Amino acid sequence: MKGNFFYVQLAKSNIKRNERNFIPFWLSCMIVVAFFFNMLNLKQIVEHSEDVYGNTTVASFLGFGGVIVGILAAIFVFYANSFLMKNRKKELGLYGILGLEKRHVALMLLIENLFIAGSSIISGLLLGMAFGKLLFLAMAKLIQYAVNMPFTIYTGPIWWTIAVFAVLFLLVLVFNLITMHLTEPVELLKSKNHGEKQPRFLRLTAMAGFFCIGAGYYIAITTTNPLKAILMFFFAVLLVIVGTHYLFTAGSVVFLKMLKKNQKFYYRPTNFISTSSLIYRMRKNATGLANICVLSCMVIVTVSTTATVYGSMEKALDKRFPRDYQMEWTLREEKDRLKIYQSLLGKYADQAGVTITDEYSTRSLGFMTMPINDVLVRDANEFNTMDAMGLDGFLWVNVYPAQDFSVIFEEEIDISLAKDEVIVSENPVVNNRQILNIAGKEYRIKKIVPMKEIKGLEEANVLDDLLQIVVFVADIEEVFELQKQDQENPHASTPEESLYFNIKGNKENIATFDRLVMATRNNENEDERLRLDSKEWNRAEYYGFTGGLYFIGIFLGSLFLLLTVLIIYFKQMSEGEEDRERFQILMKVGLSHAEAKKVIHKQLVMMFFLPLVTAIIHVTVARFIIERLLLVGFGGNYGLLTPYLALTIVIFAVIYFTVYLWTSKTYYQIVNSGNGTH
Amino acid sequence: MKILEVQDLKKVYTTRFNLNKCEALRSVSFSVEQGEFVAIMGESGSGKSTLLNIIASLLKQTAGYVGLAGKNIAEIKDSQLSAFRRDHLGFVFQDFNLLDNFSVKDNMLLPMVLAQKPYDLMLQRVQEVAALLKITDLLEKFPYEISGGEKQRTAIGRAIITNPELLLADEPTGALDSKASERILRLFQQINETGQTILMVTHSVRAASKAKRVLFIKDGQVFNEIYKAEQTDDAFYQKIMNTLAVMTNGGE
Repeated sequence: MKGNFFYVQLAKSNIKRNERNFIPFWLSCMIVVAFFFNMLNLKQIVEHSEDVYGNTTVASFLGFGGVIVGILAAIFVFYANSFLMKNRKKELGLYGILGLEKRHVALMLLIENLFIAGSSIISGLLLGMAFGKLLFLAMAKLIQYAVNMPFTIYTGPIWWTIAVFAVLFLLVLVFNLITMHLTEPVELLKSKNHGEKQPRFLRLTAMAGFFCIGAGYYIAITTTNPLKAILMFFFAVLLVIVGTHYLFTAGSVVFLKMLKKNQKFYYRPTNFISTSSLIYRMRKNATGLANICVLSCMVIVTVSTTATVYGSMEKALDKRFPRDYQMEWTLREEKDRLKIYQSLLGKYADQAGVTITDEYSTRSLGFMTMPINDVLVRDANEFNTMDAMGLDGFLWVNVYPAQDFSVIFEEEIDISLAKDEVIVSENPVVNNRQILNIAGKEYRIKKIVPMKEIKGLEEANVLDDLLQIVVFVADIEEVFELQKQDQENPHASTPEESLYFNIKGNKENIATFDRLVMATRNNENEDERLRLDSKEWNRAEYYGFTGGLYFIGIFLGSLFLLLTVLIIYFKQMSEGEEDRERFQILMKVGLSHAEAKKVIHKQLVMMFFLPLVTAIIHVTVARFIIERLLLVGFGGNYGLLTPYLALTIVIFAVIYFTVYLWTSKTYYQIVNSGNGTH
Repeated sequence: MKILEVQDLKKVYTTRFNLNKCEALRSVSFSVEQGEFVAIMGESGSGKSTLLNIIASLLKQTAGYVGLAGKNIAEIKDSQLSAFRRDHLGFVFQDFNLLDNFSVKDNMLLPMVLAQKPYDLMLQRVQEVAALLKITDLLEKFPYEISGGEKQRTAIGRAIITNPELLLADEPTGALDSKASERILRLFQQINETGQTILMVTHSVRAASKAKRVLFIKDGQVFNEIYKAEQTDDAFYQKIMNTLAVMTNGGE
């Protein structure tokens, strides 16, 4: 027992002595624990509030966020640990030489690990609970929960957090023990450096990097089809990540070697030192820089995208619901349902004391079409399902009577159409085609109008702008007639009628009206299905969805940011240690203090701003594809993406710069420590 | 002409939290003439490294005078110290102190680059020095690719490339085997014959016996000095051994 106590003391003093390494490690573990716990706990809270509309959406977001936090935590803890161990190898080697057996050192590491794990998990949980309420309130505000959800701390998440991080720390310990076991003390002692071997195929790798990034950029810029963009986005991201790694590891060295070849440039004091030490450093640390770059991109993209989605929510709602209420039903001849509903609504309005305004009804026919040669063929047998799956060129067509044009586009134009003519909204598939086949009859496309803003005649979704066109015909009755004759066609669809309206009145009356209308929806029998929806009913879900997304975005964004900062810090620390010896030698040989400072500064700026600048370029290009992704499900970005992205970049750059100032101070301290020269 | 003049040099170390003073150099006086090859001998802790560091202007003395090339080094401004060191001194260290990120050539060129010399001159000097040190073939190699002796030759190259007034060597053979040591020491003699003044600190009698004069330091003072004159290395070796014996006995 006494023996063990010795190792406890040893472990304790080790941690104390390595404060500069351990404290940031410990702090960051603690924060990651707090994040993880809160993610799980919030999920539990949301899941338990079953009366809140849309709670499952939010809960599943939070669950997903929890998984991501867990994965990041694992990556991070291992990464930070490897830095820690790298800086301590000398110390561990020394123990071996002083006569501690490997199992003693292992015991010491075990105690250290237990201490760090125990204290960071416990303090992380406490921190998480302390800030849990605040996070909860922030989330509730973003999601706009009307119902009072109580903030509760559940035991489940606590146990989960403990379990996950205990396993993680155990893995770290095992990893450390294995590394220690595989290396001899003497190797540990001098394990630092001796210039890595020249990587082979440097030029080739650099070119591969350029190619990957170029291909990623190309995909991001040229993928116009939003559904394809979903698939291609991840591919592009992958390409850019790989490319960034290659470019940083090989491209930078190739570039620096080119500088080195230029003797006029190279053989000047500061260039001489910084160029060659950058080559040396790049070989060792390019991976770290590439990671910083990728993480920075993640922070910026996550926060700005979710902010855009949240910010454009009201507009998306307006687009999807041009009026407060909308009703749609199948058009049948035997019964004039429009009249029935109108009178019913009138009755409800009188009962509730509200007035119906902006009422508008239309009839339409929807069907699928695809281009074959010059003709847009109507749902014909030639219709190739594979092509449709490939999303090349199939379109959903909605045919409306021409007199509704001004209501749909909120714009007056001259619409004098012949019986076999149509006006079609703009779409890449339509371009250059002249004939549209509707229910067997060929119509000539007279005019193509820009589809700036369709005021939500159909549910807004991805298909809205790119995979859907709106067609206006002179005589809709003729279309319906043709359609009826074509009933044997398996693709035939039925005509629909719809009614849109706003209501005016005081709050209570509107609520009464709403209840009455809702009852109608519930009473409808299967045969005469009525699709009835209101903006208000959807608002809660929208807020739950976009608010939840925004919350997760900020949450994960700050976690990414934290990791970025810590990686930078650890990198500076270990590089500072390496550079110290070098600068000591340089100063002995005659580099002055001022010159040394200049060189160090130059290096730091390069190492710091290379990832930031690259990240900014990456996200600027990514904007193109994100814009298209936002069409899916959100109906666009409503011009918010660019300003939000710019704002996020600025905020991020400011934080990044602050971190730069902070860590470069530590770096100078490390490099200057133990320099006898004045 | 006197290259180096040291008078009544004193160095006292005071630890920050401790009032105990440690006197490394009590009173050291000697001078080095142009073209001399002087070795300073003494046991560990005798103050010889302190002496070298003060001459190298890496440390400041507590009292006394150090004149280098006619200049009082205590009066050189901090801002000019590095330039002064670069222009007038060359260093050879026990552990070579080469930079891993520079090739042998670039390591040697370092002081010239820092002094902003024209590239043509650098190239010419590096060829001359490399030929003298027989490392022309190694110029493009990196320090981690060559042997200890080759590293030390590179370090010597770096030290003499600027033709400094004084070459300071701190245990230059301390990290080398006897064969490599022998080559390095012969190189020192060779360089000295070209007119280069050398001041070497060592506790190896073999190394000291290559010098023209040996100073013995004990308890922070110059205890004795002997000249080689026309003696062979071996004879001088014996004489140094005898002096050391006297020094050890005399101390008790």
